[in-house]
Amino acid sequence: MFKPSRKDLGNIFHYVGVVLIALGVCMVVPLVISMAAGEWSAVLDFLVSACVSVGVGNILYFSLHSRGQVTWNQGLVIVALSWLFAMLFAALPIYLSGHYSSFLDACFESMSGLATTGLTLVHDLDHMTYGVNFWRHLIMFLGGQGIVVLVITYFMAGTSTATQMYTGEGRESIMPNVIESSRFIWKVSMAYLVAGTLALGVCLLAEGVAPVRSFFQSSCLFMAGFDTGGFTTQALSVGYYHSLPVELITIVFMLLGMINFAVQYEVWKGRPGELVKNMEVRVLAVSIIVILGLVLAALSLAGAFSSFGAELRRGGYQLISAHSGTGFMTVYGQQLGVRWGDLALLGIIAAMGIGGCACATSGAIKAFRVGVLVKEIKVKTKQALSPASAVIVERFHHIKELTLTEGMARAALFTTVLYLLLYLLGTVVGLLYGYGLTASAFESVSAAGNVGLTTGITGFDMPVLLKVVYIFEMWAGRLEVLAVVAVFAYFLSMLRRGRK
Amino acid sequence: MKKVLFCIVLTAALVLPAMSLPAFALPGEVAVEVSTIDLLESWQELDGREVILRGEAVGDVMRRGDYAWITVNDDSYSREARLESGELRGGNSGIGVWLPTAEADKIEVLGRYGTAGDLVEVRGVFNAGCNEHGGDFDIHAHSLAVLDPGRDIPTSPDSSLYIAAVFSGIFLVATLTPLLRRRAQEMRSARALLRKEEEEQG
Repeated sequence: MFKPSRKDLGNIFHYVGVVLIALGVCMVVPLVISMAAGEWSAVLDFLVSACVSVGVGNILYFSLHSRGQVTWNQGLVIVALSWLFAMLFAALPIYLSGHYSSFLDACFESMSGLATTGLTLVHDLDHMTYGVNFWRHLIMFLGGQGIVVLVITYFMAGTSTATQMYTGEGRESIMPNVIESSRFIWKVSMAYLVAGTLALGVCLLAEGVAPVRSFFQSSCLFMAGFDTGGFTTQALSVGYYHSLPVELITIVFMLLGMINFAVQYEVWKGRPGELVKNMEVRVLAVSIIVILGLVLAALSLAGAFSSFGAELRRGGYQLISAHSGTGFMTVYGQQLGVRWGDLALLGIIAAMGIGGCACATSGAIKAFRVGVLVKEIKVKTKQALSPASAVIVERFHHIKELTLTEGMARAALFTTVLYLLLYLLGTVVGLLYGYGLTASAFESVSAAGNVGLTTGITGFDMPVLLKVVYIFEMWAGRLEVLAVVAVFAYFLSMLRRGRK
Repeated sequence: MKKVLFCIVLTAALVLPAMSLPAFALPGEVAVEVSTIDLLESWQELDGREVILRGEAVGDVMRRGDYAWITVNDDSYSREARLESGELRGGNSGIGVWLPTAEADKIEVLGRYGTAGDLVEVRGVFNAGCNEHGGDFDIHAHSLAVLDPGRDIPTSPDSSLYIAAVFSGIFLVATLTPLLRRRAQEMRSARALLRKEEEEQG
């Protein structure tokens, strides 16, 4: 088994330092926004936070030198620790804003942002500064694209280390070179950011929001929607706008965020047929249609709304929000918990648990793995019904024609089991604190699947242990669990080595 | 007897479904003073009733023709604005109110960072699932009164924050020293190399 040394640790923290420097540099954006808005307290908050973040990053970067190539397991540990350290330092301006009860709550908020979850412990959001509000959304953008992808794109020259870190963040490479893949993801995202902000900004303007505020809010909503995050600038979430066009545009953002970037790349290259042929997209479409039917039937049975139109608009929006892992809401959390009934909530839990596509900004198990597992069940069933000598071959289309292998099915099953265990962890802790089974499961899957919908359990007054468990779930869920398992295994083997 | 039974069944058949229908505000009905929490908790009883809600107008007035949307927060911050780094008293709770633009135009100050919005009182019909607005949870108000005009809240930074900024700046510069030293060393070696080349050529 791999036995890490202190030198290896130096190698790891050297790269964590780069991530902290990048994070500190990013704080300049909200600092400038606060300056423009005359929010001088926030300006100082960001100044302090940026200096501390870059300063600590410098210490790690300069004092711990990179020694040779980063191995596969080091890549996983770098990614997992980078996210943990990014949470701590991104929480600095959030905590200094004075809108959070404790530093733990600020860490919850920053992990929720970075992991694109959207659960919040904020107090008095409607009186928050533009700067801090923008920072909450910017960390969603950074986290959604992958903070390590950011570092790879702009700070790294070598590809071998980049490859280990890229895959550690739970992504598949779109192009042969991961640096090119990272740059492509950033280019596409920036293009979408400009187009999305303009489109939604014009819509908000037409819906009566003041000019400056409309473009500020549209940029924030784009970052939260495309990166399937779910924070909003106002406490009433997307329901604040009471606008069907706003809901439709944010649905487009969420769909763009939940569809595999590799598929989008094929469409960009002029092959729109990939959208129809791709197994993952098909699984997603079937899942959305089936669960939507279930949710609509449940809402009708519960009598939650008086018309089918209202059921479709509210149920459909919450479902896309759940399936994409965004967490935008057009109903109150309390309404979900009380009025929608357990059957509708189970449908939403299923959607949150499955999530969107791999190599997208969605979290959770992901449609690709669900598709692979369904095909494996099909193969096993056919095998059981065929003569012993029969060879069953299952093919599917994902960018190219692929044949289902045992290894593929095992990997999908392994990650699915890890996610189910993660969902179970939060559910059990919720139950221990006396919350109901459906609500506990809902909240746990929402945190681990990086969704952000809530039935009302998540709040600044929830038990400290539950906050810690949800932070862990958001962190592990975003990195597809494996990187977090690697961190624990890594330090455990270090301790063992130390004892020997 | 048959006629009496028939009348009872007919009355029951007409009355019972009517009882399950949502209530609608009737002219002259006494309006109920409510909070957003009341509306969320007792939505079945209050759906369609005339209500009165008091709170802070926050965010934006979104004008849509003759009508407009406003958001009225009736949380603890609406009763007493929170000062910079002041006491935290929970999240926001509020509701969207749809009202004639002429009524919405009475609002002069909206609650945002640095301002406590106008304290308003709205009267109108509560809808737990508004048919006009795709199942929205809203109030269709016919009148709005400003009870207390909004005002600016002082937002000057705490003096300790200036000190923290100075110290963190010094910390940053100190951590950059190795980089500056390395750069200086690289410059020195580059210059030395250049000098050597010049000497060799000369």
